[in-house]
Amino acid sequence: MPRTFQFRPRVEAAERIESFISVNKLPPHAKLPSERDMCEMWELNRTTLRSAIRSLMEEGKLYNKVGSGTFVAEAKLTRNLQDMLPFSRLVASAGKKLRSEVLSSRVMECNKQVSQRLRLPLGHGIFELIRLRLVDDEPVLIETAYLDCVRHAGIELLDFAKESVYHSLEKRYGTVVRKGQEQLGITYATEEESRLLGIERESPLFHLVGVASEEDGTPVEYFESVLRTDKIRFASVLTRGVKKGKKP
Amino acid sequence: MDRAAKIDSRSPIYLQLREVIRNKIEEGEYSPGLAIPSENELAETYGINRLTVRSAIDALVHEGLLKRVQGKGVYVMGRKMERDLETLGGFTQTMIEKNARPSTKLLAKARRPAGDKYAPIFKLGVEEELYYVRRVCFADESPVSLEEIYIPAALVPKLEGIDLGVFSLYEVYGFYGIKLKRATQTLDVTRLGQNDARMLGVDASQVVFLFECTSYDEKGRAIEFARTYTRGDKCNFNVCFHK
Repeated sequence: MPRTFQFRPRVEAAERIESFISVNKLPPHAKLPSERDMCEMWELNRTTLRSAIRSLMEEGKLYNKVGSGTFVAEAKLTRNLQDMLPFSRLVASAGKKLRSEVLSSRVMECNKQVSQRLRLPLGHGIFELIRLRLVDDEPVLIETAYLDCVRHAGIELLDFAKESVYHSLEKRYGTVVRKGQEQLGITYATEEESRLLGIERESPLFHLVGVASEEDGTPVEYFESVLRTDKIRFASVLTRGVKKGKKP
Repeated sequence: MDRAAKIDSRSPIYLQLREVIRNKIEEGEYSPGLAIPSENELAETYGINRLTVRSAIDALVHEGLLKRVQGKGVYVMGRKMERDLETLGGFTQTMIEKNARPSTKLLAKARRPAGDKYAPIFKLGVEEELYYVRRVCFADESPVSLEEIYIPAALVPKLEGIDLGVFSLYEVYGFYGIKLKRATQTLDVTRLGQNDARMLGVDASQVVFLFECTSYDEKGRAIEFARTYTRGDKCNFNVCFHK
């Protein structure tokens, strides 16, 4: 094993670019020096530099505009997977504006999937709400929620373009969501999803499915979201030996 | 897993068929390791076009539920590995808990200067040294993730001599009296370069999860920074949330 480290050229170039951004405190949308200048400054060849730029673009740290150069990307919205901070507050704390569009809102009969998750019998009345959520007018995620509309009578009459689901559940029905479990994976945009989100078909998306419950574990909401990976990242805190389902 | 709930008789046929197949896998009618009916059979059973059958299958191949084997057919893959996003544990520990046999293949282990990027994370000078470990992690012989780990050399001075095929990094920290207490982690999606993709057994066009994780000991010192590229077609992640 060699004692001295041979940097892989692309990795070294990428580290140089990243530290250039942090040392010079370049804000989002700031332009990087030209490829030629960066090559000269760090004694890199063009191919190496370009491959470093490409990998940073894949990670969402840079973007380029054809003909005008390479720019620092805006930080993605970081959503903590463990807390229950409403998306509206997350967006607000990033100094941005959230808008919701109701794509579909209907009462349906409970099908098998929903029945298993919400522990309700087949055919039970279910309220299905599908919303597109836009941050500063850019679509970032599509969210589908299933709720018991027998227990929450009249919920289909509320305007969820304006109201928060959890807030309405609590204020109008006294149902308090305290905890839940979700599963995160990768999926690929269907034609409809790509159209709504303004991305190419088959683009990767985060896929989040889960159930939110009351304190005693009664399921309240079964949800499923697809989220743009270029706009959102997730975060979590890991601790040693904490068992699942711990009390807050 | 199931955008199924949204699929009904008005949905495009390929989506309906995709959910039919997915359901049969979930319910065990099509079981892991075995072939599903041929495209022709499916086309005949459901009275649909063979190309439509193909795009339904393609979608599930893409998600990692099915695998196409040239000249043989389409096979059901095992369940995705489910990993917990909250409990701190090395790869080995996580896999043992999930009953998958873990192994790793070391690609590089060397000292390097912290440099501008890593010095601030560890509160070191740019010239101070880090250990850099690069390896592929396997579960039951199949590659799951590619890890790049950075550790201040002064914390584990003899790491060079320690066989990481024998001891896990967690055990090595134990040798030095270091107890990892908490870690902060971010999760993105990215694509790998040609070479790295090959190491993971994926196509360079396929996306992977990218975890960046900084681990701290009970004194709050940063002990390790890890960048882990994990196959999205092999793993899902579970998390509990609460107020």
